[in-house]
Amino acid sequence: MLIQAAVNGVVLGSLFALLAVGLTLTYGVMEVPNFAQAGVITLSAYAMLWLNQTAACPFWIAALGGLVVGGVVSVLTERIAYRFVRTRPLAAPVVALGLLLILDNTALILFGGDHVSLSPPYAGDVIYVGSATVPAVGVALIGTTAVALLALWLFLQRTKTGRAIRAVSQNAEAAAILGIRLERQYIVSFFISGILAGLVAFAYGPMYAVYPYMADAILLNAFVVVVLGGLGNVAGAAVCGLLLGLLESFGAIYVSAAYQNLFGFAVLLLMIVLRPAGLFTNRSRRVA
Amino acid sequence: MTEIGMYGQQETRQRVRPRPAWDYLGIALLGFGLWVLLVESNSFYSSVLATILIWTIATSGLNIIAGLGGYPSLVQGAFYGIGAYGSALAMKWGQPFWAACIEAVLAAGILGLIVGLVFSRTRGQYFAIGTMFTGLVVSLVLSNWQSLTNGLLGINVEFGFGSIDQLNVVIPAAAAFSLMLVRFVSRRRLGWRLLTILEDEDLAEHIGVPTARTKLTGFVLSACVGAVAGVLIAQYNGTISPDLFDYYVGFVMFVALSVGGAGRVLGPLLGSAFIVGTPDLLNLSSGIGLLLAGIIFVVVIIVIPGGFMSAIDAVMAAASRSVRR
Amino acid sequence: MTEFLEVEGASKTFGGVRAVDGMDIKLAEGQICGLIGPNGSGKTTLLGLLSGTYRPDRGTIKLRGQRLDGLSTHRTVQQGVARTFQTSRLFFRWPLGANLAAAAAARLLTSTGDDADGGQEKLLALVGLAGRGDVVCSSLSNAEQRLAMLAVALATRPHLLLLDEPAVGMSPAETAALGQVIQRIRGELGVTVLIVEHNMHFMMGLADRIVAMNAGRKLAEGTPAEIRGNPDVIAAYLGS
Repeated sequence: MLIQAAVNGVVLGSLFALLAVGLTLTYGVMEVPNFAQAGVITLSAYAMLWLNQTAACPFWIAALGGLVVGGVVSVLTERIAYRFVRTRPLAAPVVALGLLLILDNTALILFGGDHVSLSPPYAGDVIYVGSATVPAVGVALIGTTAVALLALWLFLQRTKTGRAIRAVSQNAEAAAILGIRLERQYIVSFFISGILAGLVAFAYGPMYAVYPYMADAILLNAFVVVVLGGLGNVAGAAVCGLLLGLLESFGAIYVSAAYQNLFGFAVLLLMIVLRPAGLFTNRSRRVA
Repeated sequence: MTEIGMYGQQETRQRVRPRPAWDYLGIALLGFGLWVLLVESNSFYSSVLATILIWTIATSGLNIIAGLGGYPSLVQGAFYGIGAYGSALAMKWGQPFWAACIEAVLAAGILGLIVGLVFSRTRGQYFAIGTMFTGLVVSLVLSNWQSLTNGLLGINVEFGFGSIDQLNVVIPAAAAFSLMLVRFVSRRRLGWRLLTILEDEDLAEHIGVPTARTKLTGFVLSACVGAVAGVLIAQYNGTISPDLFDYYVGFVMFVALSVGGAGRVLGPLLGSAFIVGTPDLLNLSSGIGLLLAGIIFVVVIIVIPGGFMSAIDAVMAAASRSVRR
Repeated sequence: MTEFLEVEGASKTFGGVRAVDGMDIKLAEGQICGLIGPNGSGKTTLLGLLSGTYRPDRGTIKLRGQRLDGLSTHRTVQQGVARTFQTSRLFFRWPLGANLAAAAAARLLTSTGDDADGGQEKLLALVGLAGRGDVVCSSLSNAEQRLAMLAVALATRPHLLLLDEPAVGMSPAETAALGQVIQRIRGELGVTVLIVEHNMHFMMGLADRIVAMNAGRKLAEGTPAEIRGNPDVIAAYLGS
């Protein structure tokens, strides 16, 4: 039971980490909570589905196509909408809601509302870890997350663009003075965020189902992670994602499955009140 | 000299306010007109209007802490829910209607006090996130506490009014009163103290405004008004279920207030009309209506970030300039 | 006899750093006292202790015999302490008159903040902003904003006024005018003034007494002439 809870926790945590990192990246750059990310995930999943089933592409090509779709859609949300509300933080929730409605309903209109399954070649396989079982898609999720986070880390640390993004995330004004072109960084951030959303679709779609509102629920948990890790803090999001996954998993098995989400939310409330800047942020972000 | 008035969220020109009696009279007339509309429309439009009016009450309440005070509360949906469930359950347990209403509002007020105290040192986006998750927790509890609330199936609500006609009078009247309440509060001490907190909380503290106490009062008042709206939606619908008060509702109420014009008396009415009306009236085949609604939301808030009231301001300012010429 | 302002052994530590370390200050009513010291000597922190922004870890602060330490900021305002800030802080979107009305109302507990017209005009005239009551504060010049901030602080009817570098960004002419305003604040309103300033020339001509701080402690105290010649003070400034 313990091992099963731990295994479930790692799978769930990987999902949260992947999701949260995508969110926190754009949050750090423009201080706008990107609820529309759920819509990007949905469209990415449907793109993969369509490529794989209707256009008869091999699964891996379809997956790649889905990633690209994710990146492009994400950039579009920035170019068409978020760009205009950067200086108006109170307008951002309205934009986010509007975008979510647009994206979810585009999926609904184009593909219908049925739950469809995205089946990678390894769907249905199960792997045994001690006395616990984990579906192959779960392992794929863990693997995807690990690879994605590593790639992202390398990108942010070792490439010029990546360092520029980090600079903008810390202090946009200073970065601009240093000659970093903000617009470009925003676009790149949103593109990466979209790719990450695509990866979530790739990893999460097979586990549950693909339908227009598939990501809306887990986005909340991802949000918890983003805040816990510190808005804009990629490493924090990754670590806290894993922690939250473990916390919820253990909570679900040992306490109550119905209130699974409650643990995460309770922790979040505690954090907001006590240490709003997050567990790992030491620079003081504007709290007001 | 200059009086502290309602400068709202947008750039200020000094506005000389007419005598307050006119404002209240205007709102009263508006309420009357809405009543006429409500009883004369066919049942589809009438139910959309009723929902809009009930939302107006809830978002007017929200206007106090979020519009005047500038604190982005995303938990109004929870107080709305407590108003509905509280009154319905109290009646189920034998309370007369009027007592049930009072108890529900009281319960919301107490929760508002607790939440306000918990978040007394939290500001800005963290306040938004914190209140949103509070709303989430409340709706989770309402959905899962089967023995109390019958969970996702919801409960039937005993009708507490004398007749449907009475209900149809109370709804627009309450909406009008909620608008008047904001107008009233904004001119009294609580209102201008909240406005100073909106402008610069630390400076407000330094000129002697008891910011903590003021915010708490505003928040509790907002909660109570939200509960009143909840009581009415329960009465109007006849049955209630937790998804009516999903955290999402608190979020959308904030959006409605922003779109209408936060801090402005009529903002809640315009915003609710828009947010509730657009999807309902654009009820085209699956998804297209909501898609259009989403597009309209985005376009509207980009074009007029101050909400509809700021657009109206701009139009009236342009009109008065051309009249003077 | 109780002093007007009595600070005894006040200390405040932030994360291991002793910003203020056992400060003793006594002010008589109606004095203009200057507070000088190199950057980081704890001057602004001391102001924060007096205005209720911080609670001292040790020591007491008394105004006319009433304890100020431990009161929240709005309560110190009720007790008669007002302060201004290093950067101009006003309700920028509001006209100046509305700022004054808000400050006056908060102190007098009136409901709408309507102040007797006479009161506002007199205050504006005192600081040199006569007739500017209808101007939106964001439209005021930098010097005007600093004077406006002064007027807003005065609108709360303080007994003790704390000024944090009031002359920042002012031209010599504006600074001289400010000096006169402060004299009138003391002379006509009877307000006791404590000024933190770097502008020595300004202070020397204005203050009755000067307290010099360094590293959170009182370094020296005396008349401007005494302080100017004090070797410890000179060393502290040169050494920082």
